[in-house]
Amino acid sequence: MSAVYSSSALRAEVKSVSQLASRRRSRRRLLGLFALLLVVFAVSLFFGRYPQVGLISPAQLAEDALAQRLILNLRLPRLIASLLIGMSLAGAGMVMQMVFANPLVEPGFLGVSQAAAFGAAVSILVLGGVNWQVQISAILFGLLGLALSYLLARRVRYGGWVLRLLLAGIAVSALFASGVGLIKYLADPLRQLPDITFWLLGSLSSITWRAVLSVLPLISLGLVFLWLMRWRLNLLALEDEVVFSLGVAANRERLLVLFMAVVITAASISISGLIGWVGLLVPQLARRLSGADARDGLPTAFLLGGIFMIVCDDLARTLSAGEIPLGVLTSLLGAFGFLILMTRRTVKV
Amino acid sequence: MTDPILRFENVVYTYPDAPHRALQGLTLSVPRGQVTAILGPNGAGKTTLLRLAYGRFQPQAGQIWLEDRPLAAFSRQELGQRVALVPQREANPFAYSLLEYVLLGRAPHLSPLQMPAAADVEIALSALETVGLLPLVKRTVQALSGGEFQLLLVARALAQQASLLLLDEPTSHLDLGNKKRLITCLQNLRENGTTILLTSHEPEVVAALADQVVLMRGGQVLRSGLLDEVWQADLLSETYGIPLRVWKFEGRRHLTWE
Repeated sequence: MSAVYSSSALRAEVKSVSQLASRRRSRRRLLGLFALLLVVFAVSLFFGRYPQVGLISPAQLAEDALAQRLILNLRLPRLIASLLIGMSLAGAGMVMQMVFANPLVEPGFLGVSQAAAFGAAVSILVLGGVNWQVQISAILFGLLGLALSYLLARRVRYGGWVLRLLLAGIAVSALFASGVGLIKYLADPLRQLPDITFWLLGSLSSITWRAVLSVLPLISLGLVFLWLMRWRLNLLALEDEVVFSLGVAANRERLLVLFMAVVITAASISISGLIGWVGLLVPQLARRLSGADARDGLPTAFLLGGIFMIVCDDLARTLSAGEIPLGVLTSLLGAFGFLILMTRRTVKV
Repeated sequence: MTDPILRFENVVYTYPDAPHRALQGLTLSVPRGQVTAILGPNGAGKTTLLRLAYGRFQPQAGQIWLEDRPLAAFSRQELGQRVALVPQREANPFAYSLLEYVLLGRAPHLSPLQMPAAADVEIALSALETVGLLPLVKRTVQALSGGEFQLLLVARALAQQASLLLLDEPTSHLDLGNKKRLITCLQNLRENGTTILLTSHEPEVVAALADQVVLMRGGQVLRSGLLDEVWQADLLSETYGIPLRVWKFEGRRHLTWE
């Protein structure tokens, strides 16, 4: 080692530049994003079609009882739902991309999305589409999808644990997707099929306080847990051999964070229906913004996911007089965003 | 011989579903404060030996001792605090900064919900300094050359502050310049009294680094001892299964085949 490398002056400089400054910068960036989220949330509360597209002014709100009820009983629960779902899907996407060390993985892929969709469709077909029944059925089937993927992965005879889970997830997803297809074919085209289609496209238009409060505890718990594990996620992205040598019980911890990610994903889509692309795109954006370290990446993904979902839902309820399905908008914007990211010159996922 | 940090006694290991034993009755000891090199052809069982040494696999027969305690008696985290591994190669798809990557080496000293603190950053920075990567600290992992990345893995292992450093074929896919850089780095560590156990199929690398050499073939130790005792044409020929000649030129050891 040359003397230049080890001079204490260089070390002090490197320390100030690399560590402290970057930590301070990332804290400022997170605060900025948080402020942006608050602004978007506040503006969205007053923004909408009532009756024309625009903002409700404080003066109007003071007199108009209908506007008050609209904001408190329709827009507020809907915004909170958007926020929770956005944070969950983006956070779960980040977790899965790290655990599978693959930036192209999304939260529903362990069979969760398709299984939840199957659960919702079965409930609509058999029980007739009562909201809370559809919701419970979607959560239960989502977790069943994960359990099947897990059990199947244990029986796959080759490959590392991660590859086996991936293969099992693909198989289980395909299985439930074909089930959904069958139910759509069997469903009454006038009464049941529209409900199923509506659920598969995803929407928050019929969200209620009860639906929001029913998933709030579970989602909050999951988000806090993942946030506490955020540095650890970096370790779980390493190869089995390496993470073992660092004294980490990798497979147990991976399973635990995956389980949490799946729980919040299933809870989210149980109230909204399928919503694609958020969990794939937002983590990638977050990593561009904050760097690969999940200490910053995960909170960034939470905040960006919340903002993205609120904005998408704003568009869904205002672009046309009828509602545009939320899942359609997230896919559209998500796919465009993805294309832009992929064709930019600096590739840094 | 100084007291061994790691001892293998008649260790037998067979991979699941494998027809042959990867290690058959292997006995060796790794002295503290020295570089021990395991030299042998591909498939001799060198990597298997390392996997047993950091507790990844348990032997079917025989006993492994680390610091005079059975290796199996250590928890995984305790092993991580004592034995560090530099793998042969490592893939990671995300663009970490060098400091973030080396900080991962602090994991065995942190509980699952703990995050690295200022003291850990200090340790990671001095590990980067030791391998000579401090000037590149602002780059991302993906911007490093193969040789620099190998040095980074050494830095991460140093940040573990383990008493035994394992290196699996550290130079096998490096060009000459990077090979020299890595060997120089390891020589410096050796000067500072780091205990190293490395595997290699390259005799020149072993000759440049090792105090102790273990010749392996077919899952067994052919011969072990000081470099001078082992560096014999007949022994090396037997190890590789082809006739070899050894030379000494300007104080360095060389090897040619006939």
